Amino acid sequence: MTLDVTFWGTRGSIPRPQSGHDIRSRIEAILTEAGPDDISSAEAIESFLDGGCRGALPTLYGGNTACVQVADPDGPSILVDFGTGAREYAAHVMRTQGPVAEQPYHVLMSHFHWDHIMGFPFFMPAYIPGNVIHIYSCHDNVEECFRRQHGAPSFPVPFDVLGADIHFHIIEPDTDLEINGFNVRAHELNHTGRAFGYRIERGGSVAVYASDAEHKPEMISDAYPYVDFIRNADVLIFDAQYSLAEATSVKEDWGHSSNVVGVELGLMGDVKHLLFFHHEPLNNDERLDQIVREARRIEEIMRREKAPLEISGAYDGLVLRI
Amino acid sequence: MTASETPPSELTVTAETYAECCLVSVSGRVDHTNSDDFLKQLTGHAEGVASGGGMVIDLARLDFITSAGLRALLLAQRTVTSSKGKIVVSGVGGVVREVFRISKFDALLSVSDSVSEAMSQISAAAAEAYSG
Repeated sequence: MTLDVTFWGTRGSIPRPQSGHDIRSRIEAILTEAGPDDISSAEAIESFLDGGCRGALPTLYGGNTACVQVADPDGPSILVDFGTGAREYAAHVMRTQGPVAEQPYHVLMSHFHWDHIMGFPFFMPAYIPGNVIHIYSCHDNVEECFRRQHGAPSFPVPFDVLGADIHFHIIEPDTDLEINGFNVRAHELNHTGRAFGYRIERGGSVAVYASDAEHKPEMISDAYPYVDFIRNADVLIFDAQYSLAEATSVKEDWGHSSNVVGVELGLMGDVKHLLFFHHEPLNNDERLDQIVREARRIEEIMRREKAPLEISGAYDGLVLRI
Repeated sequence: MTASETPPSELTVTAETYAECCLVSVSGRVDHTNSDDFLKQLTGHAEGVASGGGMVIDLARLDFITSAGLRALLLAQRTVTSSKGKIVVSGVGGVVREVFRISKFDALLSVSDSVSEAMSQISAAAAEAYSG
């Protein structure tokens, strides 16, 4: 069975709109690469653009915060986190299904730091009677966290005004649960305020969402429970917000990891595809591409007898079939 | 589902003294199988550096290092500098140099091309004792 993993928001900490400088850099890159033949006709321009401008452009990572959908292409779907990407997801569902979704929404919450919850007040289905939203969390104050975000003076519309039928479910970590046709296991991650990752399985395909985690170098061993949590995953969605030097010095205990540690853990867990996520808002597209390239080199150095670990950077709008 | 424990990789750490400077030479691999041992040995040598003294960690014969090994170097640096000493890492080449660059540890640690150059950074007395 295949699963589609759709990244509606991939940025960490705070939304990161494209700046005028970002856009100008991309225009410059296109104009530098384009030759007379590339712009000789509308068809030539179309072809040049469809070909990615012959690699002149870096990946466009986008700026929405954490929101990922795991879906059976012919069946149910599950969402993780209500970052600002959830607004794009809602718009997509409403475009394709109308204001009232055909099925209830099922959403797993990692934790309640702003970037993982700030999309909910702009999640239009929550305002529309007829929609049903199930929210799952290992935190027993999950409902309070959602209500507080809607409270004055932070937001003008109180939670009680929301028209959808909203249910909160408190779940146990390290326990296999059946949620909307998926086998789901939550696992606590090392992060201020307690974050939880989710191992999501259906029909033998495995996606692990494990953002917001600080894996300190001294934690990494064969006995580290996280390694079992991610073992043999088809996709590991990994928080690589900082460099290793930052994560072990000035940003130690800020709750995030690096590309180097991602590679170490991905290889130890026999993961197939490592996807960097929760991108640092200060990093532009060129820097994020560089982080991926450097991780691929680290993987070559570290792999030894292990199977190759595919490495990519998740970006807003990426759909990955596993 | 749990993987069996991997046997420790080969690692040798030796130490010599030149004037007030401790020269630690590392060879083999530092990875998750032996990083605790590496940290313990390195910390022991760092704590032995006298106030205002120095330490050179020569990695010329090191084949590989992971995040835990890099952290051990950082902790040694903190120990030595907290007692007003100087610490320099030398012989960072090949794959280890790449790991330093990608991890950005080349910006955290003082790095020198050779042991003699590192000794010069510690003190004239250490450089003279090493060359002599």
